[in-house]
Amino acid sequence: MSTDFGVWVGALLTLAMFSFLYRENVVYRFAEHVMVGVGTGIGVLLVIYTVLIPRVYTGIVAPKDATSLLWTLLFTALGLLFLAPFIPKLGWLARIPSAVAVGYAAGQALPAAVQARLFPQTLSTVQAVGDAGSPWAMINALIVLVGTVSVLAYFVMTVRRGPALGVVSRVGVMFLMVGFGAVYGNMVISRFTILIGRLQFLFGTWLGILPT
Amino acid sequence: MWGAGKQMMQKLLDIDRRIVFLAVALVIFVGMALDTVVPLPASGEARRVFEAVEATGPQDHVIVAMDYPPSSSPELHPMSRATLHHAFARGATVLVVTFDADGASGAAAMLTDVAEKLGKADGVDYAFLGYSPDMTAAIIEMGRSFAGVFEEIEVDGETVPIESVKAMEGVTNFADIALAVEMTGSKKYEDWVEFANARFGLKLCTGATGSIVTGQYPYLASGQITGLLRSTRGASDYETMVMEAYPGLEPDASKKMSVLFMGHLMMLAFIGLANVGYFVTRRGARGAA
Repeated sequence: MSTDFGVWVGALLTLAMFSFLYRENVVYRFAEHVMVGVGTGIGVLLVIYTVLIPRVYTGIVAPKDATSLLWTLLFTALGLLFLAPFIPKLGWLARIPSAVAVGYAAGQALPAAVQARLFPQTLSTVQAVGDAGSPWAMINALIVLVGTVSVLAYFVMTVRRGPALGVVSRVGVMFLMVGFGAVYGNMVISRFTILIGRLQFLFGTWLGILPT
Repeated sequence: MWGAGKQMMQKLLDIDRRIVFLAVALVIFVGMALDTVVPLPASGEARRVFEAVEATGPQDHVIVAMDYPPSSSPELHPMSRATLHHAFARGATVLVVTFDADGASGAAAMLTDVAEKLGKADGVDYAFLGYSPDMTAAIIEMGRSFAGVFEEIEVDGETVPIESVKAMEGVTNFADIALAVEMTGSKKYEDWVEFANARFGLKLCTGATGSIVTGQYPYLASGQITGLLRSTRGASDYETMVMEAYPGLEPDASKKMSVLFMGHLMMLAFIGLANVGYFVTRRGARGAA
């Protein structure tokens, strides 16, 4: 059995979390609150040590040059405007950094979506049919092509569905179901692995009765 | 006779879920106690990761991005460990980065552990770049200059300018990186694909948890991702290939696979029983109506 204090804390908190499987109880709620509290604490410290001190404090107290000082002051001021809603009369000022953040994110995301998703994915789906080097590869490529087109057809909401689009959409639904099944299967692997990891910790690292 | 069968099935359908939980725990416990490794043929996508890392050498820099919190470590730690072991064994200089705040300490500990076992020196054979907030902006900046994101890094407990670190010699941006291997259990891989790969042409392999891996297959098919490690199975495949080629790596995911195998069998049995029970009781209910 482990003599490490940290392992004991981890093991007892793990057991507290597992107690929820029996029924909701005060031990589980305690562990849940500890987790949220610790997570928030770590998050706050990380913001202080990775953003506020190296980027804001150092950027203002010891700037590289006048330009970097101006940029730091500008974005620090914008960041502070997020706190404006605490003064109800000035609450509208928070819209300014929100607008900048949304504009920045959209500006980054749109070209990336076209460059990394739309064109490469469309090309890959179509080219795979032409480039198939064997009958199996051809069958696979056709399945992907039919699946992509039919699923996209299912999400066409802007026109009235005629009989042809209806049939294609139903094929799309079947592909979606198979897709959801694959996601579920992988999810099971994922959750089982997490459980194995926890049990390895409890029976191996903590109790020492199983190999880790 | 039919009534007794129906009653039994109904009892089975009404079984307390806690008994199912207990059965799952018991099966996993037995699987772990057996401590066996089920030999499985390596999947194609895992083999491609192996080949990509195998193609690197002493002149190359490899990025290993551990973008996951401790909750994903049972699935992703074995992949990270095998990748680090493999890259070090090839003689490549390894740069570890994380964009997951909760994962930073785990990533650093893993890197130190593997490096020490292989006798690699901090700041010379590898560098821990650390954690950076605002992942998208950081990756775009790394495409132009690593120093723009990580001005200073920690080497042997001391904070030093990144330009002074020997492991960073010859590295300015992504153009100087031979390969990046990204491990994640979230959508963080999208930034690596969309910016590091699509914009800067960085060769990319990924390792993913089962919950998000299906979203990565289209990128694998299009070649934007060179190789992919799918959850514990992918980790097991890759780990086995690395163990066979470069001794010294302990099996981890391969052991988990045998436990998973037993868990899956039990789950299939439960699903089968529940379906039989459902159809039997439904047929009985129709008959009564």
